[in-house]
Amino acid sequence: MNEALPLLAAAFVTGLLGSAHCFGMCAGLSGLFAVNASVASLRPQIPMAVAYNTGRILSYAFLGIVVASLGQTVVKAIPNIAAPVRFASGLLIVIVGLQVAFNWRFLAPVEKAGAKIWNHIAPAAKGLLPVTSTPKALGLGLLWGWLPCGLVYSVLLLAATTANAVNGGLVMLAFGVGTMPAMIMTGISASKLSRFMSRKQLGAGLLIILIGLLTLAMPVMKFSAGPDDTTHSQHSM
Amino acid sequence: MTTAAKGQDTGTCFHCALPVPADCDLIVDIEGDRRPVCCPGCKAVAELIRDSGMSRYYSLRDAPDPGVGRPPAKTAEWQVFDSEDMLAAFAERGSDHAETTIYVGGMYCAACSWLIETTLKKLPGIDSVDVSPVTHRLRVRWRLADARFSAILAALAQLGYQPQPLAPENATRPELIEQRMALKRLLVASLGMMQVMMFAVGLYAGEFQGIDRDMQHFLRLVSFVVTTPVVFYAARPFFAAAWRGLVARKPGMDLPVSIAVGSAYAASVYATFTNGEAVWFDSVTMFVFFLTLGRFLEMRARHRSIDRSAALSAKLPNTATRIEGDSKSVVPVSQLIAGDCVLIRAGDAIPADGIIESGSTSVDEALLTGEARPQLKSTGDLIAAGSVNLDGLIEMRVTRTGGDTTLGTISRLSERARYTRPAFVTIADRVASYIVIALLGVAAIVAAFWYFVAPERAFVITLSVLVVTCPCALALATPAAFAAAGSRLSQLRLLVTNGNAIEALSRATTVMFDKTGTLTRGMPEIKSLMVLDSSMTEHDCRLIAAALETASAHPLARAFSMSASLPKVSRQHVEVGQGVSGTIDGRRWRIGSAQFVGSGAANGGDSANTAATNVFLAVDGDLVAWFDVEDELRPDVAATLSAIDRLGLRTALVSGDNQNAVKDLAMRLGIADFYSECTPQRKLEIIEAAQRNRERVVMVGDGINDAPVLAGADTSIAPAHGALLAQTSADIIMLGESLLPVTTAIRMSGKTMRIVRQNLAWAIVYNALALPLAAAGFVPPWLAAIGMSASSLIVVLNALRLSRFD
Repeated sequence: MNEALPLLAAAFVTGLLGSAHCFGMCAGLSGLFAVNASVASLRPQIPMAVAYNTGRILSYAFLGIVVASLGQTVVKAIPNIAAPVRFASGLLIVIVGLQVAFNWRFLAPVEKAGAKIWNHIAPAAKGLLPVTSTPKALGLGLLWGWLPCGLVYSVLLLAATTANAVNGGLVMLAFGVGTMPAMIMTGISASKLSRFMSRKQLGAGLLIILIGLLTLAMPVMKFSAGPDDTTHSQHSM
Repeated sequence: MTTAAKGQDTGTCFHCALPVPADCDLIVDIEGDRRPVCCPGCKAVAELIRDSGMSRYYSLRDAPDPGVGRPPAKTAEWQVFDSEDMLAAFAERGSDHAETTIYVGGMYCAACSWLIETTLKKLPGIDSVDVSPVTHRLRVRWRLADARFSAILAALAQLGYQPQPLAPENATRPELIEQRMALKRLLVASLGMMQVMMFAVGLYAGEFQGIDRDMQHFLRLVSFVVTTPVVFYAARPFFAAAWRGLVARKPGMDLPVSIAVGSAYAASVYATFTNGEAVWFDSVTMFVFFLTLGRFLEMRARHRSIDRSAALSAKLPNTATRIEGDSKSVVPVSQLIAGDCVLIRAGDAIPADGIIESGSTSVDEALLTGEARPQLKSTGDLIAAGSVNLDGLIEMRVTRTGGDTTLGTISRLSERARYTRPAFVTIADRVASYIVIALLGVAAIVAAFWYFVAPERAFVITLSVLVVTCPCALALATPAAFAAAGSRLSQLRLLVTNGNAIEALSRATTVMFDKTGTLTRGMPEIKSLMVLDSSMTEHDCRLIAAALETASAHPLARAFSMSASLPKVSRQHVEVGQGVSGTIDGRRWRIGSAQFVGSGAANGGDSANTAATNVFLAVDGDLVAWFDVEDELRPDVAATLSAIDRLGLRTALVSGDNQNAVKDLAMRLGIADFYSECTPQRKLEIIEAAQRNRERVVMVGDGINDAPVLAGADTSIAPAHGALLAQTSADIIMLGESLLPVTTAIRMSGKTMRIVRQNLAWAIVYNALALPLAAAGFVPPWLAAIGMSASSLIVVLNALRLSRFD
């Protein structure tokens, strides 16, 4: 349990202040809900926005569970790999932090691969637009989770390194929950929000890096504190 | 992301407007144009939007650049805003810059806000632009040396929006600020709570599995960091209110809350830095979060009814196009006076009440009457401020402006309710003080007891007692229900103008209806005319009747109004509810009921058509003519009456009209109790007699001629009659045509009082159960926080059920 905590925190912060890019990309989508609705009726859109976001987060969590199960299989298959994997996840958090702080994109090639998957999903998504009802919004959210996105992929990698299906799902859940405020607040002045985000981006990145460094340091701290049942706590979730 | 300003540069992503990386060559084909995008994600979304046939999204967003394919901006039209007076009225002026809020009509989505920002930022001298698509407001700041107000407005108008500068007092409404602050606090509290809970789970798990002290200390430190803003920012209103209560010697429920939050936080900080036994950061953040959430929900319910009146005033444009001879100029609506002629384009809101001078159009009056269908209006028709001109171009002669308009009156009336607090709420407030003092006393006793029995547990238990017994539910029970009911009623087109109306209405046993203008539409017409005097023509009779009736405010008088030139009447005298007398060419004329006109009329009153009201015209005591005046029933009259029947209430018809007309209507509608030919005095006597009989009377009537009757009833409901709205003293006003809202109001009031009672019962039972458990030490602080907040959330959510009532 304790092991996953920094990962959850990192995923949450990544989602929360992750990237101005994602905001620019998806903010318009909230606009899509409104395009066909009359101006006066904002309220009916709220259940739709909630359904859409729920769907999106569920997709993330599902993906998290899948990749983490894969990770679990790998860790089980290869002896003595658990410690390096944990080290890798710390390193990965640092990389995600760098990505957020400086708007780097390490995973552009993966995004292209993801786009291929998306091509199979897009027809289904097309049927759901324009969003006119809550179930449609939920459906669109479920599909939206599969959009090719570097940030999602890097957090997914992080989820994979937990090598535990539950923790992997939780990491993605934390990330999704983190993205909620931005997605919900798109109604607020778009420029104000993105300006706020870009100002906070460096800080957020540094915070994530710090969490990553802590994760890296934790095993070291443990070892120095004396022998500890690390394998036990890994399964304690 | 400052790229919004760069907008249309080739180097930016078509979809998200961020710079496209140099090594990226992704392209999207939108309606024949090849557009660069920055990543596969944007490409996917853009294609999705295109393929689902929603490219309109982009065209809305990417309306053409200023100057391309459009006429040049008509700056001249807006130049009036460049004067110092206008700047002072509509902007906050600094030494070298000015800042203002503009309401942008016609804004639909995030894309619109993007377009507006991009366009305005291209103008010289603009410092900052912030657009909120939700409130349709634009905040702009510009340098006075480089930019002009008129240029900004013209640029917006040119994009196809309808800009309306807002005077500062309109722009920053206190409830909006309150709401924004509350939302920020709620965000801080919820984010803080989520984080601290995460750490707390680690800490608790650690307690069971063993956790090394470094890790524990680390988690506590992080919790401390996260909790601090929650306590000092999110919980600040509680501390402030507690202090105010103390100063005023009227401690409110914020006092125990503050003591609990403050002491738990202080003790936790102490424990964190001394490696103490336990920390309560999780309980503190949870407590603050739930309290803030409860308050937020209650505030939302309260504001929603205000929102409606704010929406009413928001519909009113801030500027109008005045026509003087051949010239047109844009002037602030506040400068319009009766008699001005204004030009109203399709899509514009009507700035004042007035009469159409030329042109015809359909208008949306939903705001004022609830009627969703467009109403056709042409020359000579009245149109009201706040309705929207849908398609035609019209010129209007202003008759009433500002607060005198129907819209202004409605807003003022709904304000009135806010200042009369329901007696119920006042009592609850007064009692709350004593409850708080009692609870603090109990907490002190509990603390003392445990201090002697088990000192190490004294703090935790006292903390739990303070938290668990927080009388929040009790304090919220009534106001939350009234707020929700009021806002729902206003959505149902019922305007509550008296805070006590709901409670009074819930006890009603009898509903009395006025006839003309209440059960009927109040737009009577002359159905037939019988002339008895062979020396007179029908037209003569109509002219004389019209001349006499000019003096009368009786609804039936409207049937006689004519636009011909009328004979001159002297010594005109109105007998309220009976008729009018006057001298024309030396002869004494009387028009009105049979009784009023004189004995001769009784014989002639033997009209064939008893459904209509007979109005008699006599000169010097001789009957000259009689008119059959008919007034159409309001829609849903029968349904309303049978619904009231089903509620078990007695109905009665009380009218000043003649016996035949009243009896006929009562029979047709199945009203057993009816009183005809009532003077206002008689109506009041009927009500008082019922009240002596322990009946609680709801009077439904317009009160135009009989205001005391409305005042005499326990509750009064009036249909809104545009022009006479301002004079109404009714507790509740129905804005639509239908009569059904009467039943809705009665049912709603019953339900509201039921919910108030449920809430109070729940709050009392909860506190009575929780207190002994907490005092006995069975409730840890985190459970206390959940219990307290669950009980107040239940109360608020129960009240919010009213907002779905129909």
